[in-house]
Amino acid sequence: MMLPGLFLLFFINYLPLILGAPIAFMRYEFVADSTFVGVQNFSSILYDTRFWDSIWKTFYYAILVVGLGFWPPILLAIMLDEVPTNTLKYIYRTIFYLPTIVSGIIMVFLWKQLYNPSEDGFLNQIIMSVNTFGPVAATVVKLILITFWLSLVGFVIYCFFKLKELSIPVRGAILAFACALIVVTVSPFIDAWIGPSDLIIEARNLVKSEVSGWSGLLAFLTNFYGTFDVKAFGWVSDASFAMFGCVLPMVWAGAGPGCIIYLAALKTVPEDLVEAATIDGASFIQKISYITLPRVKLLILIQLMGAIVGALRGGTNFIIAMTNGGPNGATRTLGMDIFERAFTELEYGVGSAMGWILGGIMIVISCYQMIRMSQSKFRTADQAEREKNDNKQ
Amino acid sequence: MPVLTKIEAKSPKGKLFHLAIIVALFVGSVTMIYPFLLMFSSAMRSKMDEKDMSIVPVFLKDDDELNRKFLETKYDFNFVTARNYRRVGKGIDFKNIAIPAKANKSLAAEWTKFIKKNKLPNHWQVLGGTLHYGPVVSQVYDIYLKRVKKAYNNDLKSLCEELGIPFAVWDEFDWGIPLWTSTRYSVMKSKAMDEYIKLMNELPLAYRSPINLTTTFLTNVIFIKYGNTNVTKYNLAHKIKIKNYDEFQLPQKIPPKTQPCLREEWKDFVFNSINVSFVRSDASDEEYQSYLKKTYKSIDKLNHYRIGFEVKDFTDISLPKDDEWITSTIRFDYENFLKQIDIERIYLVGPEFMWQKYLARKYKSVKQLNSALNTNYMAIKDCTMPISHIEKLYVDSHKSELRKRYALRNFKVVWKGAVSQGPAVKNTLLYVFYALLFALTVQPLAAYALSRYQPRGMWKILFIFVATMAFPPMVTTIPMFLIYKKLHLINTIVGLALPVCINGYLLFLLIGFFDSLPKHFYEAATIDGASEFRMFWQITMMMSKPILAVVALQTFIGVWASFMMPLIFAPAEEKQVLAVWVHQFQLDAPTSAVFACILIASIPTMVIFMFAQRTIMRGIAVPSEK
Repeated sequence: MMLPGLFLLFFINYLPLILGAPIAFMRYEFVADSTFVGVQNFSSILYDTRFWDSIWKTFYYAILVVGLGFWPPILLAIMLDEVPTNTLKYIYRTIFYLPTIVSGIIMVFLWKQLYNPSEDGFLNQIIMSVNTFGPVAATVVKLILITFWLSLVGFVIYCFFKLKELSIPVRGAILAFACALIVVTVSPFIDAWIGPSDLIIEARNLVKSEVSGWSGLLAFLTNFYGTFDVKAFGWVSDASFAMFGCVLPMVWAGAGPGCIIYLAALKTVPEDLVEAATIDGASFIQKISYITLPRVKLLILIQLMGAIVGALRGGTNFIIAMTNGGPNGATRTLGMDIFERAFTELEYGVGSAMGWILGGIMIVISCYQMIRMSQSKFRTADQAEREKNDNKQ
Repeated sequence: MPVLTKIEAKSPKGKLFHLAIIVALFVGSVTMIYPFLLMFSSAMRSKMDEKDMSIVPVFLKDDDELNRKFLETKYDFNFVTARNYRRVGKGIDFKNIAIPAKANKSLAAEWTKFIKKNKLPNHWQVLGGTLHYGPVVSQVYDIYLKRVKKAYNNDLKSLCEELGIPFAVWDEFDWGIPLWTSTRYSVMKSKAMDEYIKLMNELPLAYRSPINLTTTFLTNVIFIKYGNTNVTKYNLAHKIKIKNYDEFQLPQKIPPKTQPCLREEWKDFVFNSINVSFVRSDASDEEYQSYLKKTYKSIDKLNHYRIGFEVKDFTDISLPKDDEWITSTIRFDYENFLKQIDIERIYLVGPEFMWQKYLARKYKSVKQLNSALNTNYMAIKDCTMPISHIEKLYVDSHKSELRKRYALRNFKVVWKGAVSQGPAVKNTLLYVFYALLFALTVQPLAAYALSRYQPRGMWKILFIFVATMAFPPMVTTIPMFLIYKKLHLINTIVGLALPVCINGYLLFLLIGFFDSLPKHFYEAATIDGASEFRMFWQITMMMSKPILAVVALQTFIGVWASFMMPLIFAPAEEKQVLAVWVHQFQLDAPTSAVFACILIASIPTMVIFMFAQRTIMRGIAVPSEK
């Protein structure tokens, strides 16, 4: 009975793969005859700095996608679960699911509009609207933002010291995150203390003692009060932000649909455990970290694997539509590079060889994911409910 | 299961906590909804206000903005056209075009009376909004196209032959607007032209633009020389002081010698930049006849050179009347005749001079005119045609109708292109149908086999299913294309549906669900001698309707969003699916129409999610330790 499935799979996935395999060893021509060149494609890639650059870009992209996009669904699910009434829950769920209705590539067109780098651009209009605040209002807004940021850092540090019972790797991760936040917080001050580099000082005719040390720090501190001076930002046409800009729409669109699986998982958390913990006087954060999260740990792990694989292979469509690898190769990930080689530079053999390398990297991660999955049992929420009732009887 | 228990929630701290969560989610949902609202409002815009970011398009509230939209549509989205026929103030685009603060009703009524009394010749006016601008066209174009279709009995070929323009489909039809003022313009007699003239005389005055010689002079001579925004250069050259070009009025006769610069420009305009049909002189017919006699010597020679011209004697020839269109046959002679007579005798003819003459005859003095029409002209020769007032009056009396029309036009275009006329929606529905058919047979079959017999290497088999997903799709695209070509699956909807129907995640889901079905059903069925297929169909399939709904839903969403696959494997126009159509559409459509397109394309997924949220939730499988 599996035959149709297997046949289709063979026909659609494996046959092209098998037929495509020799191409990686050829100088492939679309119209003329192709010639066999052995492992030349592979060797030429490995000695190409562009390839290594795109490998680095791929990992950078994956880190951004996983680092920014992985936790919002979990947080959102926990928050949605706390919403008291069902109607509100339904409304919020629908709202956060909205981005899905705009299918993938079309969402990029929307965001491209928002990212318009001119002063008319939507996001630029928003960030530049703070310029209109008076000095007092601006100071208040700045103070609120600083307080918000500091309380976030404080919260993470608090979590590290409060949640002593967590396993060491998890505590380590929290500590690393806390350290990263502290570094991000402190680094502008250190930068201000050190001052600009000698080259810049020379170019702008500055006096070193005036722009570094205490005076530099004081000058930096003046930024914390008074009016804003925000200028139009380049968004995806700004090389340092481009990759981030490609990831942001995905994070935005992924939170709602991603949270649904966690919502289902949260339903399987037994009520009595939570109640017992409450009676014992556990705080909200303790309940979340000792009861809820461990219950969905396996799901989180599997999702994480999936997210990593997805991040490494995916996103090419988005990047093509959003920046097409630019500006200046800042968003040229491996998938993008393959696309460029195969379809723009018409070196299909080289592109194919790169595809095999990428596929090889990902099969390793997929394997681990599969092993973890094979050790677990999949149940829908209905089934879990039914089983729970069976156990009670 | 909420972490905050019901008892905790009742305490003030718990209430505060709930409030905080609701507020945080509210902020989050604003960031989700705002772009959509923006998209919705953008879908109602046009080229003119595309860059606006307000949630409610300005023209829905503001009358002036609506008026500007009307102008934009009337002048075919082309600001230069508008500048040719109308004074635009300091504007450099439709967004800043000058609109009178208040419509002068008496002035507009006077103009209507004037038009009724002196029927303007056809070559003194044009009809706006008949151009084909991208996929979004004006209502006038729609009416015009309908008339043309009727005039040609729906025969596109005869239209193409008559106009000499090859149109592939009716919707491409567009032959431009008649360029009456252009020096070498010649009218092509055609049924399309006749319909144009007929329609021009039928539609409200606001849709017409009389030829404006002043603005034509400005565009063709002054703006080229001095730029169109700043008057300082112009003032410097002419040694006068005008605040802006709106104050400028073209004199009917050559300016006096005290204005040498303007004199030169006027001369240049009359002889080089304007159609001679708008130039007349006070010469008598005899002068003209003697000029022709001198040039051609005999009447036979004249008839020979003027193709299609038959006159018996020179005395039969007369000078054209003021409102007569000078055909290309006699244009050359007439032009040369004008060049050799004294320049002081030449004068311009056109609607604006006729209007001034009409006003002068009716009101005698400027004072009388100003008090009767509520105006403040310095002299009758300063009177401009009150087109802006006519337009304003029309817009003011048709506000809601125009608003509705402008807000919906992008949607209408998309609806017409994708749903009511194009094959896109039909193809997509077929695509969805095949994909569902395959997905709901192949996957349950495979899952049934894996779940019921639990073959030893089940995970290995599953692994095979999933491992292929690790390879980037570009690697397999070309081999797959070659295979498809060999099997003649290119440009078939079935071919598109094949790869969609097997999906690792959905297979997991099915296996998990089938595993949970009670085993004793199968045992009983086996004892009763049921065949394997019957068990599959009557037990498994019948009992797993909820999960099949989930599979169907996921497949549907996947199919609806798939783009690269149809783009590469079904490129033919009659096999286009919606996503490809959207892609094609956004290449040459204005952004606002693209947004309308996106919105229409996402209605089905939206509706399905609204109603199938529970089904989706039900189908989510959560892993737990064995």
